[in-house]
Amino acid sequence: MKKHLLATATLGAFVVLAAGSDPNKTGGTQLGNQMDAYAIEYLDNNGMLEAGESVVVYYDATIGLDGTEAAYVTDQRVCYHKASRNSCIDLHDIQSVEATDGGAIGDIIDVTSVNGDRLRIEVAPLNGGDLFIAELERAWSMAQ
Amino acid sequence: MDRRRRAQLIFAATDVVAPVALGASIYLLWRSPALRVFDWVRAAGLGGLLGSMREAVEGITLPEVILYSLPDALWTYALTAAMARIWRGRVTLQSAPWLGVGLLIGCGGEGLQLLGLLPGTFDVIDLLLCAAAGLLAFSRSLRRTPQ
Repeated sequence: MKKHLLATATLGAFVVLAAGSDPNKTGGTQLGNQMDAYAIEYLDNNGMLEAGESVVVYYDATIGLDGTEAAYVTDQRVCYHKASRNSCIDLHDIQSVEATDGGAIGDIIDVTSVNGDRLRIEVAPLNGGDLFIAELERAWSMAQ
Repeated sequence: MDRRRRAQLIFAATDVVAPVALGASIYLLWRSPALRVFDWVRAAGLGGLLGSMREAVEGITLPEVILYSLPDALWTYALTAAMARIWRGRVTLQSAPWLGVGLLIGCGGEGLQLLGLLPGTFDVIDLLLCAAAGLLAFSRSLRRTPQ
């Protein structure tokens, strides 16, 4: 009986371990309609969207996917959120978007505004940097 | 510490804890952070430490077989070894289902994927590695489990 109990407990522990490998959140670059619930909630709770603004593309830069460091493009702005601070540039004010392949760092995207403000966005490898760049350029183009 | 107790601890360390730790390390350092285990790490207050460790190994690329197949095989190995330890490496009517549970879950999961009954992609390498790991653990445990 003792062995059965021990074996059951051991199996339970291994099943819990295996559950850790289940995907919990999608992560990576997501289009607005694909965003995980936690990301939408974080944007809402932290007032990161203006009235009537909708997200075009979103990328969570944190390992734990908690939204505390994230880049996102809306139909009005491109923003980088870090340390509870939001840095944004209006799409109308963008002067240039430069994307470079940073190798192990991933895609490095530099956004410069007409008045000299700059945003740097780094999207880790295999996290959909191409999609983020394409959607940013598309949104910028539409805002012209 | 007597010899028997020491042999038990060494067995647990090398055949159960070490394979689990190695598999977990592969997941934590190289796999996508969109896995439940990262929530656990963050809840334990170790998110920052893990982030630093992932940055440190960022330039190291693992072969796909190590990244995607080996952790499952290590899990199967460790579970089979743990069961063999509990049942002292003896195959009886009572112990047989427990001894085979690692192989059943590890290889059975792949089989269910092949039949489309479980989400995921069937991979013959996964299946072969899981089977080899379970059988290896079983054969090693039969010889090494302290009586």
